[in-house]
Amino acid sequence: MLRELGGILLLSIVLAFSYNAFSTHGLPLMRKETKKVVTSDSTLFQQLSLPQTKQIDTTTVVAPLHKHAMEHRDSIAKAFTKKDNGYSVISLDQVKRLLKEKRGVFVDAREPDEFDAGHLPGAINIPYLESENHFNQMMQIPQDTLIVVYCSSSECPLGRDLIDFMRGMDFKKVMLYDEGWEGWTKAGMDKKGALK
Amino acid sequence: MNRLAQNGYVTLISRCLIGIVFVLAAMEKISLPDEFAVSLQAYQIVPMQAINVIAIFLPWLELVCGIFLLAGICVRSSAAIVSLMLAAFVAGISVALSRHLNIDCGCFGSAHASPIGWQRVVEDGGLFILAVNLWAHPKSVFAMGNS
Repeated sequence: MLRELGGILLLSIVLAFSYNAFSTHGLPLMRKETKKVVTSDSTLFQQLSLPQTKQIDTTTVVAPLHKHAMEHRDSIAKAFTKKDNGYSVISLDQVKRLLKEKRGVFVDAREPDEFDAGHLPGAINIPYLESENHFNQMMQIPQDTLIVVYCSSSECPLGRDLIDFMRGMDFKKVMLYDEGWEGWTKAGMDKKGALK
Repeated sequence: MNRLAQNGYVTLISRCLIGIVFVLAAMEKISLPDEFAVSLQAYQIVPMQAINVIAIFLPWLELVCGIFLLAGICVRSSAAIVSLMLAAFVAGISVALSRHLNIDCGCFGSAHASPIGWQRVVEDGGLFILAVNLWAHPKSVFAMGNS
């Protein structure tokens, strides 16, 4: 039996690493830490000074309407595998300023029951685990809109996963509020964005 | 009960069930290994340096064991490896649930993303029992090998 076990393991190793070496989706043997880039105020708020605006619910968004995502709808799941750009992270103060100025679309990547229990003011819920079901909803958002995605905390990967998905849809300005809902509540903020 | 566990048709059904589940689980992970690596990373159990190696190797081990079980080749050894994998999956999901992590299971790749839950633990636990039974009683009908 030991010979069989060894044979199965050896066969799997040979197949796995041979395929990985020749596959276009092959991985490096060592994984790098997730890259997070702090976004400066000038970068963040300068992006919002574009001339065209559009009103979505209570939020003013900027940029032309998204055109191409529908044509590539079937390839979205494959397209969001590129993660080499890292994530642009914004702070609580920047979140508060964006909310105060009603800029950007806030997207909660958590499950609907968590969203219903509490979320950032004006946020919409696009649970990453059901993101493909929300494709049409995302299509309504112009691709140059500033999007701020958050999850429960920096340990939650769903926000980062949703950002990858949205990048696959060609959204250009997707930021991560890394502290997420826990960071928001720990700072003493309530659902309306005011201090308790 | 022991006779039922040894019944050739019961072990055949176990082989087919586990084999199909493991082959299906492996396919998507093999086609998108980076997504599987992201799912593994989310569990916060595996060291960062080992994640990619596991993401490359594990789906192929699932595929080889799944095919061997379906074909009835090296059933005992394949069942032993599958049992260890299922025990690891049950432990990993249980630890993540106890830490209240809200993450994708990663069980069938990112195209079939679904959150972890106790239901998944029960499913994997059931497959684990079947796999251990296969290890203990590997003989079944319609098998290409003898063990």
